[in-house]
Amino acid sequence: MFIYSLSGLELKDTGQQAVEIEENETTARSATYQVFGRFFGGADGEHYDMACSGQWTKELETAVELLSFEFDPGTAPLADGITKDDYCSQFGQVFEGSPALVSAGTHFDDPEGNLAEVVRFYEYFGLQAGDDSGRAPDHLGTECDFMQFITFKEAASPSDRLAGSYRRAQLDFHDRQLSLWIPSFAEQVAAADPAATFAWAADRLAAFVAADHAYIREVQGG
Amino acid sequence: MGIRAPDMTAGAPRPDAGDRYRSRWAWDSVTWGTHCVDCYPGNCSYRVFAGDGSVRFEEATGTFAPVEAGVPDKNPMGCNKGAAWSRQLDNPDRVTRPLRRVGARGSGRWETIGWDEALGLLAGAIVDAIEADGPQAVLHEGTPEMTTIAPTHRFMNQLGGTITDFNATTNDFNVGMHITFGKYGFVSSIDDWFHSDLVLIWHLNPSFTRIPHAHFVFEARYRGAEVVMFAPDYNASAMHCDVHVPVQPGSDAALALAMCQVILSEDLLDREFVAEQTDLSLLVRADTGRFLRASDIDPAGSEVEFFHLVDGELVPADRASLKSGQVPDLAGGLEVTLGDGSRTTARPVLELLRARLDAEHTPELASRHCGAHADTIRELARKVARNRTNILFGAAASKYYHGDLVERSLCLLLALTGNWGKKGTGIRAWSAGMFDGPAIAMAKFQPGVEGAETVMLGLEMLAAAERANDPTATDEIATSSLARLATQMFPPFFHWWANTGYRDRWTKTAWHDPSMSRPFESFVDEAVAAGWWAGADTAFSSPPRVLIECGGNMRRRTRGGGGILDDLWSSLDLVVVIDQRMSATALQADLVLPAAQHYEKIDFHIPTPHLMHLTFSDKAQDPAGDALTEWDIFARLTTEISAEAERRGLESYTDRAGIVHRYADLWNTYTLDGHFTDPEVLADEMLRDSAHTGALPEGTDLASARRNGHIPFSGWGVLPYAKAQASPFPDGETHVPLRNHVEQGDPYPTLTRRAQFYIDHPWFLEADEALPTHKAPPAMGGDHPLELTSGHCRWSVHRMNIGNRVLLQTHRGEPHAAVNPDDAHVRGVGDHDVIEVFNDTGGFIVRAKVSPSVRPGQIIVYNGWESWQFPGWRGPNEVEGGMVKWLHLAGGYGHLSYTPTAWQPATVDRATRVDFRRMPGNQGG
Repeated sequence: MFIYSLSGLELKDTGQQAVEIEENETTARSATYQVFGRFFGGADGEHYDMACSGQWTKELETAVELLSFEFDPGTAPLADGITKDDYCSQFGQVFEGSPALVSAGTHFDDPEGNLAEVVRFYEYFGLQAGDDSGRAPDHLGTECDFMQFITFKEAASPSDRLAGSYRRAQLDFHDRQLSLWIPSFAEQVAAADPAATFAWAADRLAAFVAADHAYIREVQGG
Repeated sequence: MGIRAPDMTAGAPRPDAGDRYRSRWAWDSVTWGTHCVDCYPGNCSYRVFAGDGSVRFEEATGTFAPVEAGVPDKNPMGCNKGAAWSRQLDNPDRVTRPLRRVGARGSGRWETIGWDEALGLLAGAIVDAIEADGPQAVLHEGTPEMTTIAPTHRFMNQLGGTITDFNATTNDFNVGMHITFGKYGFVSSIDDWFHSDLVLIWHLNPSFTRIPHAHFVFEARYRGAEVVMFAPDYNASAMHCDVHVPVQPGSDAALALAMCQVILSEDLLDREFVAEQTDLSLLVRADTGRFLRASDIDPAGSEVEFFHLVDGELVPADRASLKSGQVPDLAGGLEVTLGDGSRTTARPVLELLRARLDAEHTPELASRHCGAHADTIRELARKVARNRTNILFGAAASKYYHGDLVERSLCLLLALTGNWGKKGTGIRAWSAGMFDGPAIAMAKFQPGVEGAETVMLGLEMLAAAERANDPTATDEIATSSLARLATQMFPPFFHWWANTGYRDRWTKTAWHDPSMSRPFESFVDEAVAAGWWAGADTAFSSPPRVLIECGGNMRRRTRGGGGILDDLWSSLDLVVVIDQRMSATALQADLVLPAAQHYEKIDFHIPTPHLMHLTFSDKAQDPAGDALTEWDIFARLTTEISAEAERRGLESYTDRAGIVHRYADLWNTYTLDGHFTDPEVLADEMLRDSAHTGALPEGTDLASARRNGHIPFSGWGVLPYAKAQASPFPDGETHVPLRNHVEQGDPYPTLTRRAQFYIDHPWFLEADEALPTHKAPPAMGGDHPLELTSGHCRWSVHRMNIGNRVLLQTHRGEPHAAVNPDDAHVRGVGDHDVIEVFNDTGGFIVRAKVSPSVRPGQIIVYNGWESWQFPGWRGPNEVEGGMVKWLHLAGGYGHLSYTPTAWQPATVDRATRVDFRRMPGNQGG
């Protein structure tokens, strides 16, 4: 059974009930975004422990099992050569420094306009940026959370039409967000030559976004 | 865009007049714009250029992609009004501060007040009205003004107030088409006009009123099309046509029926089309003149099962499909034994039609009525029969007393020749639809896609219930039934009857058609007793107390003049006008509240299959002065009403439908718990909802609208107007409506499920209008020799641009009445003389424009002039007849029951009888 979990976003008071659904190819996509959302949401002790134990790789491998398209999760090198403090510090420097690579606005000419666009996406699908997450609506972790949510909602939709609307939203979010800036994000992370775990995550995210984009485009017929 | 503002300061040591002029055209921001008044079909897309936060100018764009190979594109779209729209932002008639009357109504004395005070006054009057007579005592006269519909209807519906059906006042829509097809809003896209071989322009002057679109007709001539203009006057479009047929005003039915007579007598009939698509094959009883029904033969039979002859045998007409394989006879007859044992003969409608046409509508007879030569009529009839024919039809016919007969006759001409449902054919009307977002968003109980889905599921469940009731109903028929059930408008006939001077007007028997065999009141009484208008007839048990005019201008457009509204005005505790401009109605109001102009807010043009794209208009500058958007005004008003109620210790009230409204909840219900407070969120929601229904492409939202300015529709959506197109959504080709009927055999939403030319309602039989016929316009206005006609002018969209200083310089700059030189000469009137146009109702003073293009006996005053442009604030509506045709009170007959904007009594003005005389001491020159 799969249930979504959001950290950068929260449900608006719209009477939506959390539900669990059987795992399938769509929940696999949702679960994959869930893993990336958690990874890029911020580093802490647990994040470090997972990096040391190979848990990130295992979680990603589990998440992608039911995907209906090819995607190699690779193997995250263990972070056993680096202390927790250095790990967390480097995470901040690489991803959240200046410029903050995890912020979509860093990669767009009109960051304010892009932010407004992202917020409207969330609002129309019943979400709002969480007050206590400390991260902006266009943060990579939040955008991954959003993809996690709308793929889950597609899987849980009571009607084909509603599922289609969620699927079209995914394609649209790819076209106007993730697929526009994740390649640039991954390139800049790679250029920063960070800890291998971080390089792995950015590289795999870029590969997954590209594969997922191609998949959803094909499903949508073009 | 790649557009960069020129550097006006380079090399200029100090500003001079030239620099100031050039700086007038400098800009630092560019937005998309359009003009969200009912400029119809409009939908031009402009770029609006602003500098230092103020709009400087606008420019029509040429950014529309070609639709079909070999067909011209729509570029550029624009006109003189659009190119001068920005000049109205600071035109002298602009209202920028809330105004309160300080003298008597209409005294012209005002003081400026703040919003809090203005809305407090209005809120107090509304609470007074609710507590005295219920929320229905708050009245809004409906108006098809795109930018005001959503907020005004939203507010009125949350309040429980009364909105009148806007077509009752405007009478723009096509009642004759509704009688024939059970719907009127089906149109080809404008580029399909290019496919026509023969274009008949009737009641339309496209060079004035379709400036961006007329080129498709004239370009069709390059591929061999012939264009014929039927009009009393030699108007601006006639010079572009191959043939101008000058006709007597209101005589079009005579002409069209004579063409039908030629087609039948010369055996030019499209038999297959007629037999399949129309009721002309259905059998009519000789004894009663009514259709033969199953219930006639068997008392347990259906009232809506009709028959035709197939190989001489009586066969029930299939209600579910027009392509059932039956090939009905169009001639002959049958002796039928009825349920009571009696016998009668039954014959196809076509036989009755043929006999009627031969007896009363030959070209020679028609020529006496319409003035066209019989040979011209014959020649044109043969051309219609041989060619793909498109009737380019305007909104003027319905404003004639017998406009329904005109339209039915024109539709008959197309039916006999198989001229609809195919490229280059058909007849056009007013049509909207596809942009479902506003309606969906306003119906939501929760925001977002889940809220939209809930609304759609609700619609589908209701439609499914309709289909369960009647398994033969198509999706279109089921949805059109929902429109009747779900409307939140009231036909205002009974309001007018009870509260205005129309009762005295309509009971003038001499101003009605002579075939009205009883006093008008008896038809009203009979309609009420039959329950045909149940709900509407008791909706106005007491006069309204508060009038909110937003988007409309009832003191200008109410046919019959200000006197008609005197009783209503005296009963109103408060008249409030929300407008950008000082209008005729505003001059007679107690409060005038300034609204943002189209360039000062986000909005959309009225969507229509004519254009097949949604046109976006962005906010290019802040509202002038204290002006607010209509949405904000009503949002603030809800708060004021709640506060006023709280001060009085009031909690709730009940509306006429039994719904309890809590005063304290008004803002929450209006804004969907605060979700709809930001105009950007509201616009975004509407666009995304439309993408969810499939009407707009996936991914459409406010950001994409801002990028593209106009968005091609991608589907019909879910609402009735668009479903009336009854065609596959076009992909890479022009749109042609009614294809589902013609190609698939889908039935029409009429009583007989066919295009219906025989109406056997007892009133129609009594009036001898079961079949289309010609009746001359009655003597509305009294016994006077001239007929007053009108039409939209070239210089203004309704009254919107009528005071625009730039546009006033493009013509005589003041109202005028166009008269024929002979009529002027016998009255001693010269060009530009001041004349009084008068009849039994009253008169108005205006300059004469003496023009040989005007038909003798005709006088033309174009639509749109404000009362304040005439001496004494008395304009042409002072003399208009304002009658309603009694037959339009009929009901209880399938599609002839109240249908929003389609079936109800609506006032008319064309061919009002008038005369004119020269005013002493006022010579022109």
